[in-house]
Amino acid sequence: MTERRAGYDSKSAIDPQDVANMLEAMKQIGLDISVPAVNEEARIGNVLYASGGCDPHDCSGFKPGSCSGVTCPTKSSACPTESCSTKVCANHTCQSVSCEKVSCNNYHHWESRASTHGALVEAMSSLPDGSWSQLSSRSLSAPDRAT
Amino acid sequence: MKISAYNCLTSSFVPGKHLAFNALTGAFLSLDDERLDDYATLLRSIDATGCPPDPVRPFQKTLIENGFVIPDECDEQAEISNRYHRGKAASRGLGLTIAPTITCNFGCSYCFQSHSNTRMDDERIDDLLTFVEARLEAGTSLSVTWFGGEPLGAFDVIEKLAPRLHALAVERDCTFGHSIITNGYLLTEPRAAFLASIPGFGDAQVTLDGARKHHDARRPTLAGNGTFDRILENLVAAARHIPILVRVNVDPRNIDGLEDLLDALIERGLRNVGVYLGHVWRYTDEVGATDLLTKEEFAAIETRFKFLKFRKGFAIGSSLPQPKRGALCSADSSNSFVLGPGGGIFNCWNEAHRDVHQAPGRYSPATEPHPGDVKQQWAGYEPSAKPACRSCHVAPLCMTGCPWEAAKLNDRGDCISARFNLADQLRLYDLEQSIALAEKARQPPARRTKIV
Repeated sequence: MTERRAGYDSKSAIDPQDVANMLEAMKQIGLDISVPAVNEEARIGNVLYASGGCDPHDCSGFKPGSCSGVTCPTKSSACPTESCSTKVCANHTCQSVSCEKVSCNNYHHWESRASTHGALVEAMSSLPDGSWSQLSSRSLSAPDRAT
Repeated sequence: MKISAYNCLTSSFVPGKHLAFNALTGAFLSLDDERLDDYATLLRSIDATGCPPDPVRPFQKTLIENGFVIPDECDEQAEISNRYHRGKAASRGLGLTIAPTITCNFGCSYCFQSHSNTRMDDERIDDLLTFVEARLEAGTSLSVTWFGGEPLGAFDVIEKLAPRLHALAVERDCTFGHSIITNGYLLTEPRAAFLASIPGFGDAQVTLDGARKHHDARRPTLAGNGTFDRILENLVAAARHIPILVRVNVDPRNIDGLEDLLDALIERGLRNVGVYLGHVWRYTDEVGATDLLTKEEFAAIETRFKFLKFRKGFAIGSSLPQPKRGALCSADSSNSFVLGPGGGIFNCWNEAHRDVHQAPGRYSPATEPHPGDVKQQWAGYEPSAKPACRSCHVAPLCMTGCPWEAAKLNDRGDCISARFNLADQLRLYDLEQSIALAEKARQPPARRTKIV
């Protein structure tokens, strides 16, 4: 009921059976992604106001007022063994800097996740042939389904 | 107070975990069932009384701070317009799309260009440098995209221009970045090494339209020969030097080949390249393809393809949708230019193949420059003037989308995929982020590190 009242969107183009397969594979390798985990409360801001600037955003790592060349740090303590991909957020004005807390998760190479993702891919590929939906022109007619 | 017009509340892939996103602030929050109740209670209270419940729970305060609920005086439409104009006015860096040639060695079935043999000569190279010298403001940035035709068909032009543009940027204390869009057929290892040797190289975007069967039928040489095997060989070698981004132009005829393409890339050790779908669309009258996906169909295929990539071990490449600011593209930007090989300045990539005499401006003094006219076409572009976009829940993400498409009377393709697949984009982003964080949580305590 809460979901319906709040304008909840549960439709997805991804086959629910594929999602179920993925969750089953996660269970097999002991991977739990159920905890709310994404940079919460990281974009607090006053951007709705014409006079808004970076304040009171948490632009740690960025320099408000001189944001034309914001660059992802080449090293982050979030992933000390790995360089971030070179990501120059060029042409940003101060107001357009995304004021997320600087987290390498938003930038770093896929390799850092390779071991977990690799194990998951292996678990998913061990499912019998025909377990997964096929991406084909026939799927164009498939309606979105609730996840 | 009132409810923002740009909220999206959706399920995640995990039962009991929900996602909330506001397209105007870019706020993204994950919710358990208790927080979902807080969300619903807040919105219900605002809807009924215009005030938050008393007392306001901590998570409801977070929702207010992140713009899910806003003061009555906030005008979100005006904010979108302000962002566009403020961002445009503040932008100072110079963006160039340079076509060293319009010639192309491919005969793709859906190409949006007509190809002449025009290629940049030494005189035009000097003119181009003069143009950049006159416009590059010290302490800003210079960003170059090598485009065509097939830019590697005039590689000598890139060899001459790239080091000189880089040197000019250094001299002016500007950052320098460059990247290339190529069909990959001429992307040999030495050429990739050269591109890597010029500082600031981003990536080479190479198009593969499926595995051999689909690709060769759609992207043959002018003589009609297959190109897949040679491009794949080139990618393996080039990837030793430069990041590769594979674009797959998709329409109903090659959807069946997408999985085979991923398998082919895996087989050649290219699982770490970026792969994304482009939408074959009737951008110009030159496009021959008639069987196109609608925007909605494309958005669904794009979502399924991202999930397929994830299942096959590729990065999904899902970034959190970002609210837009400033100019939409080179067309409406006051300091971005598309420079053709014959001396013409164009505004949109869709015009790069046109003859210099059709250009709204010239960078070559020898061809009677009238640079003041170059940006006239889009100078007055006003994103908030499109009524259809006023009620769209993703308007802050696209600011009404491609101005080129918006100018068409029929078959407009200005909507972005997020209009149709925002919830799936959020789910996929959450999935990838959650796995990264779960991996971190599984690391032994000594290896755990605090996010800066």
